[in-house]
Amino acid sequence: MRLSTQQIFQTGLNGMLQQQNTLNNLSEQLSTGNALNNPASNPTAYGQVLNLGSRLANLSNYQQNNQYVQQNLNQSSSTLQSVGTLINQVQQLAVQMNNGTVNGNDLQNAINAMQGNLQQLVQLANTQNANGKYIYGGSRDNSPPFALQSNGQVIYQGDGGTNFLQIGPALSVPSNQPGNAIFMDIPAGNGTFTVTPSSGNYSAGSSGTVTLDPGSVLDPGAAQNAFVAQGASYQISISQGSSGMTYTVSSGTGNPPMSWNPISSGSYVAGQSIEIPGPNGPMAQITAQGTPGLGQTDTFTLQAARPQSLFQTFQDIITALQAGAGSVTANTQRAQGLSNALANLSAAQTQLLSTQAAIGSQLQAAQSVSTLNSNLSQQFQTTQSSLADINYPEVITQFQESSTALQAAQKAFAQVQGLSLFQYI
Amino acid sequence: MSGVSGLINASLSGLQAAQEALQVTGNNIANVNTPGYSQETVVQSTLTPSYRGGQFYGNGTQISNVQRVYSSFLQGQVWSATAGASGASTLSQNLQQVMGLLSSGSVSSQIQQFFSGVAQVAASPSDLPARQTLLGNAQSLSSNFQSLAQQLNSIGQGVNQQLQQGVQTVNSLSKQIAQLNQQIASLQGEGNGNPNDLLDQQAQLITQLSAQVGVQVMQQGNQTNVYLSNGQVLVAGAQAFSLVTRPSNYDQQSLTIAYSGSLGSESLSQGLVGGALGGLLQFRQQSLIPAQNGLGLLADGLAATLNQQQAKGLNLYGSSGSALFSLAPVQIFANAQNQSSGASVQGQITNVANLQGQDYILQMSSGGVWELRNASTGAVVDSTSGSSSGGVTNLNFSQEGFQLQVSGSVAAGDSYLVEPTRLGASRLQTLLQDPSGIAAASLYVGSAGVASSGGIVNNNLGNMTLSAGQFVSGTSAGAVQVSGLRFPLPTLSLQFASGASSGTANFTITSSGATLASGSVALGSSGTAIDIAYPSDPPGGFYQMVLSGTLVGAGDTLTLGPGGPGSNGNAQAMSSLATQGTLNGGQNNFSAQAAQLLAQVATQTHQAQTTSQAQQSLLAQTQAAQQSYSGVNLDQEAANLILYQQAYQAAAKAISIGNTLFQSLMQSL
Repeated sequence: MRLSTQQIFQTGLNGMLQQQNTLNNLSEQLSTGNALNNPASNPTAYGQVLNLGSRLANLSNYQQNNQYVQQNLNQSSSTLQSVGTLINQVQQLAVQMNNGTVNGNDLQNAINAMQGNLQQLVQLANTQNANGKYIYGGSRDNSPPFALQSNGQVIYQGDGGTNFLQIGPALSVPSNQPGNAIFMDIPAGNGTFTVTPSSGNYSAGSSGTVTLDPGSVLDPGAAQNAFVAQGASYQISISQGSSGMTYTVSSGTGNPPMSWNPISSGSYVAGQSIEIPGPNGPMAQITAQGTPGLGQTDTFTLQAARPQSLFQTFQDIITALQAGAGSVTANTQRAQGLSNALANLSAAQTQLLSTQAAIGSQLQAAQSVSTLNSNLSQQFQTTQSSLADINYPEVITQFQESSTALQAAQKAFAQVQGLSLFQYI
Repeated sequence: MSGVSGLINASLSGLQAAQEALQVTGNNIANVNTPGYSQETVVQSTLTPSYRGGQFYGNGTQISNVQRVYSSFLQGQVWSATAGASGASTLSQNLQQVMGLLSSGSVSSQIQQFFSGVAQVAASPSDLPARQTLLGNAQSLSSNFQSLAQQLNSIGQGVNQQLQQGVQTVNSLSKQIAQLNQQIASLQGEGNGNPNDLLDQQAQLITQLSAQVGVQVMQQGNQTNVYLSNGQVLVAGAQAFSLVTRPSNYDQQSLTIAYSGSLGSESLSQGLVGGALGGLLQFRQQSLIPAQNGLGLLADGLAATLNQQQAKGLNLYGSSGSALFSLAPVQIFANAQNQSSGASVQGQITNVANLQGQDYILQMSSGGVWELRNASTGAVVDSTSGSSSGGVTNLNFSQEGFQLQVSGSVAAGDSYLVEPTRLGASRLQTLLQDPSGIAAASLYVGSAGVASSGGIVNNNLGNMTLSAGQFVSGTSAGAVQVSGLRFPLPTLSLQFASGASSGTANFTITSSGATLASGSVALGSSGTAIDIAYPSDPPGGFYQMVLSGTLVGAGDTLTLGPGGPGSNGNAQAMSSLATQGTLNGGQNNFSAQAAQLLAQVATQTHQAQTTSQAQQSLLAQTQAAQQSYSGVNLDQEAANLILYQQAYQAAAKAISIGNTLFQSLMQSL
């Protein structure tokens, strides 16, 4: 084929320009390590890299949330552990004081210790996190949720708000525990009803030593219906007459009941269980200890259990200890008060343990999700890097090839330009 | 003539022919680098012979023609390849600009950063620094969108400028082509040879014209007529029709191409392909506008979705969150040729999930029916008669995600250009400046117990609880509805009058003693929904909490308090928007939409680059073919020089021999 002189130049020039362009691209890739400097060179990979990037960002949000949740749970868990230790101490103290041999001094020391314990408990319940937020305040975490008032009462100023954080696609976990569920709303007594001694049991001249245990529920359905739904109360009276000791169980409605209606009775011996009759046989039973004074009657009221705060239980112990020492009546009153309080303490302990168990399992779940997410992250990053990062040996080889080709093109150009007939004429 | 004088005369003609051939060769050598030059060859023929004594004696030679080595087929291929390559390279260069802009603008990473800020607020809702960070991220997101939109706009203005320049170049070239037509006609009219150089110049001008716009060339006698690729005439004989750029009928900012003067103002842009102008028009229509609309759609989606979510929660002041971002209106242009001038059309985006990033032509047909056409395909996508009230006709194009209001009288046939998402990115602003204004909290939080002296006192015997709430757009069957609330939200009290352990329990919802609602819940069931109507619209709808449990004591009370500073219900919902399909019919989340937009531009750029490369090599091939036929080869010219030099020397020698012969004759006398 005939070639025009211009064409010979142009062809050589085009070849060199093209090689230069390739070399430029390759050297840019080598200097940045990024194969997608020009996204148009591989739009599919570019789209995938962007999608992976957004999934990585989501994962990193999940991980951030996860960390936050774990921090919160760990802090809550260790706080609750301290609360548990405190409760154990109080339990020991209460058991120690539930003894006829303690004197007034011991009691006063115990009261002082209990007041310190109460303050410590309030402090624990008002724990703040690293940001200064109260971790048991529900949605009102800016101010202390538990306020100890001068009368020893504690008011919950937070609310029941639980926050959830997303730690995985379609997986949200609670990031806080509202304080009312832990410290305030603890089922009192045996969880269904509470036992309250009549004040007359301990009045002057009274010499009875009867105490009732918190009792146990035999037929929960019937008991809940009677106590909670119907609002029924029961009265257990134990009296000692000349012919021996008897007990009477009466029922009533209203708060307090206007009148008591006897529903069962029998002879009494100390240590006996007294049954509360229900629609399908006995629905609860209570064990009584001690004996009433001769010619006297000790009376106890059984009412539906209202939630009782741990603070109130502490306060109840203080009240029970304030009953004094020395007399049979005082010992009996203290014994009944401490027995009730111990039941409440153990309910609080149970509540605490179940909260901690929940925290433990949430932590475990959060950790396993975190591991899963970080594996997934790793995998996405590997894929992303395989798409976006250059393969150095490959690119270096291409660079060498291109630079050799450019040199060859330049050499060929120079040689071809030397070939002119004009040099010979 | 015969004998010695014949020898001298014939040699002389050879001498002259060689001289002329050498001149043509010299001209070829001189023009070796002249663009568009076609090599010329001499056509040599014998002179008429003399008849003498029964024999024909040759009388020497002559140059009968100086011929231009030219193929109209090959030249035509160069023209069309030039138009193709120039169009493809214009498209590719402009797209590369858009691609570079969008990929370095990091839309995706800005969105991710914004949602990372939201996640932090969800983790510590009452933490002011976290809220400040969120607002900072929002600010940088919106200004990033704005600057991208501005840069895309300035690319659009660049297209306008390039169109103007292109049209000027086309006008000057077509004028020169027409002038050459005139000169060629007058020269060729005198008979004799062809004005080769003028023809070459004209072909070269057409090549230059092809670089600006695709043309068709028709040869009519010795006249060259040039038409645009869509058949409109550009040069007819000695007359050139000049073009102008003028604002399009709808958008004054967008230039279109038309004939200048009285030839009509109809746009010639339709069907104009090839060359820089064709490439620019294609770029604007198929790449720039979709990129602007796509970016706007993303911005509109973010603004509308986050604003809605803001409205569903409570800020630190206890009221509903105000808009985080500004939502751009629908951009509407009236056709400059509309009959009625008093009418105005406005529009708003109603549903971002249905937005398609398209432009539409809205036209009222004679029956009072408004038709919505896709602006690029012309297909009718929706139509409505609208609902009229108070002189304003409301046109709800819910399938397309926007609504329009027409006020004033509109004549049948009037049309409007509707660009729902065009302004989205450029008008995206962060409106919220106060970190406390972020609505992170749930509307209400349920707690067991009675609100009393700033605290909650729980004396409940039963176990009824309220679930965490969520937004529902409509109330459900069996739900207890609480309405008429105002900000600041009151504390509500839900109380059971009597106890129950089976069947249903009745409750009333009161606020400061006033009964707002009452209802019943089946114990042990999945519960009863309490739907609290939002005091504000947006969001409208209800905040739904579910009441459930198995046991109720008489007087049991649940308290519903407005979400406190530590509540993250709404922030969590806002955070989950990062992964929710909210756009493109609910298929794409924001990041996916951004990735789709970028990948789409990258794909277009890739295609344009590939096409441009292919067109370049096609151009190189056709140029090579044309050059191989018409181009000058210096070796060939060198050989010709030797050839004609030797012919000249030989002829001179023949004359010298003739001279010797004469002298011999003269001496012998």
